[in-house]
Order: sequence, then C-alpha cells, then structure tokens
Amino acid sequence: MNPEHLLHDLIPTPTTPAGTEPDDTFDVPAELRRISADVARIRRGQQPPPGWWAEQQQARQCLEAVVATELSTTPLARIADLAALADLADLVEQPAAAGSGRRRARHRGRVEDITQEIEGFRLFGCVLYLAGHPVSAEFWWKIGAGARDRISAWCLYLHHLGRGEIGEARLWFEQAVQAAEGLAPGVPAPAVPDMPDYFRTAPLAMDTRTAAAAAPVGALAREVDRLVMHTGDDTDGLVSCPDRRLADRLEEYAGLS
Amino acid sequence: MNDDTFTGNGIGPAVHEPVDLPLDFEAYFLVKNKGFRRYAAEMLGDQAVGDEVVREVFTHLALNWDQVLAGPDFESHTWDVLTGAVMYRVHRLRREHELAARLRQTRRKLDQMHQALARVEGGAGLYAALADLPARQCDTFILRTTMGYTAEYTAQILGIHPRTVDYHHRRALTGLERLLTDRHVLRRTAAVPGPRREGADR
Repeated sequence: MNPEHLLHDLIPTPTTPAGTEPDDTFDVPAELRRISADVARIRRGQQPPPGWWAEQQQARQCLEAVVATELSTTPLARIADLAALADLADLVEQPAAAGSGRRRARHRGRVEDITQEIEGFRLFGCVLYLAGHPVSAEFWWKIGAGARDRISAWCLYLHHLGRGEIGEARLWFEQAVQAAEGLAPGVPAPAVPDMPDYFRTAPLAMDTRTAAAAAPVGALAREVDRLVMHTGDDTDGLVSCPDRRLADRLEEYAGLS
Repeated sequence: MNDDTFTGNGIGPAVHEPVDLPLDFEAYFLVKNKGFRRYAAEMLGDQAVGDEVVREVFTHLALNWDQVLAGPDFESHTWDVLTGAVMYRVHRLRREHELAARLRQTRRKLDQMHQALARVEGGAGLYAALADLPARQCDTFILRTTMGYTAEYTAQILGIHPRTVDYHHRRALTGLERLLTDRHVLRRTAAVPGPRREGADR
C-alpha cells in the first residue's frame, strides 16, 4: 500500500443529503443583479423590507440599551453583588480548592441576601453580553429569570427575538410581564394587550437612546476574556464564574459611564 | 451610475438594472454565498426557500454595508443576521417540528455510526483511526467532513456553539493525521500546515 500524502486524499467526498447541496448552476452575476435591484427598490420605498429586519434589529438595539443601562446605572454598591457571586464561585469549586474552609466562612459573611445574588447573576449576564459572550450571558440570565428576575427574563426575551427564535421569545416575554406576587399595594399589575403577536412588537416602542451612552468596553472585554475556559470539550469558549478582579474592573467601568 | 436607469420611476425587469453594489460587498458575496445558502437549505430543508432568505440577508447587508463593516465583530454579526432570518422563516413556515425531527434523525444516524465504528477492530485505515478519536471530535468529523454539513448546522445538531464545532473539527483533523502518520497510512511529511504536536514528524 502506498502511503498517501494528505489526510484529504483518504476522506471520501461528502455525501450531502439530497436537496441541500447548492447546485453549481447557481448564477452569481444574476443574483448580484437581483440584490442590487432589491436594494434600489427598498431605498426608493417601492418594496417593503422583509419582516425580520426591523424586528430583529430593534430587538438587538433594545437589548444593548437594557444592558448598557443596567451597567451604567448600577449603583457601585451593587458591584458588590458580583463580588458576592465570585465568592459563590469559590464555594462551587470548593471541593477541589485547597484551604477552602476560610473561603466558605468569607462567603457566608458576604451573601446575606438572595435578591442581591440574583442581581449579581443578571449583572454578570449583562457584562458577558456586552463583552461579546452571548451564549454565556444567556446562561446567567436564565438563572436570574429562573429566580423570577424580570429584567433577566426581559433580556432573554430580547435576545431570542433578535435571533428569530420566536417560540423562546414568547416564553420569556410572558415570564417578564407576569404579574409578580410581590407587587406593592396599590401598584397595578403590568397590562399586556390580549393580542396573539403583541410580544413581538414591544421593542418597536422602546426607547433605545441610552445605548449610545455606554462607555467603551475594551478593558472590560479583555478582563472577561481572561475568564474564558479553554477546556477542549463542549464548555470550551464559555465563560466561567466571575472573580474579584472582574468586580473591581466593573467598578471602574461603572465609574466611567 | 445608476441614476439614468432609474429615472422615470419605472420598474423594469431586475436583470436589466446594472449592479450598483460596493465592491467589497460583492467580494464578500462571492466568498460567502455558497456557505450561507447551504446553511439556509439545511435549516429549512428546501434550497429554493433557503436561497430566498439568503437573498434577503445579502440585500440587508448591502443596504447597511457601512454600518456592518464598522461593527465590532463583522463575521459574527453577519452570521447572526443570517441565522435570525432563517429562524424567522422557519417559524413563518411553521417548520419548527420538521427541523427538530431532522436534527433528531441526524443525531440517530450519528449514534449508529458510533456503534459501527466501535465494532471496527484493528486495521490501519481511516475508520479505525476515527474510532480512536475522542467522541466529540469524531462527531464533528463525521458531520462536517463525511456528511458535509456546515459548522453552524453541525452546532445545531450537537447543541454546541459553532466555534466549538470548528475547534473540535480542527483537533479531529490534526488527531487523525497524527494517528494515521504513526500507523504509516500517511507519509511523514509536513505537507499540511497547522498545529502539530512536537515529534510527530521526522
């Protein structure tokens, strides 16, 4: 047997399922002409853009606004939530960590309040989203939303709507606008019109101006990248728990905005 | 350039209008249209509808080209736009269940292939080497290389991130190369660039 030079020579040609392999007869110049014509017609207002354009762009902008607002209006005291979360991370890793008895004691001392912890989840989700880690952000928002945090649920709603995942968007929308049991006396429950697709139109009415006010995320993003796991398995590229250093950077960041 | 054609507000047949698109957009289209169309067809189960969605996406990108170029992460943004548009269409055509069924079917097929590979004993061929790879690397190799799916559709099947798929796939290729070189199926040359473990060649 003659050894082959390249792995490529050994591999059989992909057998794509019927109907999913683009034919070679695809006419590129004609397609470009059509795109050019569509662009011109949409610019002249002679053709409506497809439905997903406005919906998804608006949802993304809204999410950016919510996230930016969440981070820039965060009282510095709440940054401590993230530090508390870092303590929690210590606790989770505790079986593996040496000398963790002290850490556990410190943890007990810091996280007194479950609501503070939930805010920490939400806040960390927002930091991750802003730093370009939407998959990891989703994870923390889900924990927050699971603990009935409405802003986390609202973030998830906008996140999924922006990705065209209508089913998930509906689910989180309903979670976000659900009448909370904790309403103060005299506060009306949020009113949602009884229309089948109402949940998809909400971002169109939202104010997205705050998005422009966010400070540049460069340093913060680098700090988050430091936490990205390089495990070589399916968690590769995900961001693990926050640590104290990130909490410090976030404090600086909140001071900038 | 296009003004004279468009005077009189007449809508002629699309093909007679001259192409008036940014040059770098056209280049991007040339590079990406095949992958985009493949992914859309995989998700929608239909090349014609997929092509329609991809045209919408490229039209959208062309209309907002300057903005798209100025964005922080160009490549991931264009993919976000594509996957968003595709999912929107999946929902509009009520094909969510169909898509889920197709994903399940592919996962089953993958399981069967794993079982078949586990039965391969000894030998120095590609399939014997494939059976020796870690499961995830084997998965991505089968889906990407043997079945020819896009990284993004592979990610849907496996329920992981497309970048993770790329990572596993790269590792699978280098792993296979090393295994096959050690077994003298491949010649010991450094013909394929890329990360190689020290001592694997020469």
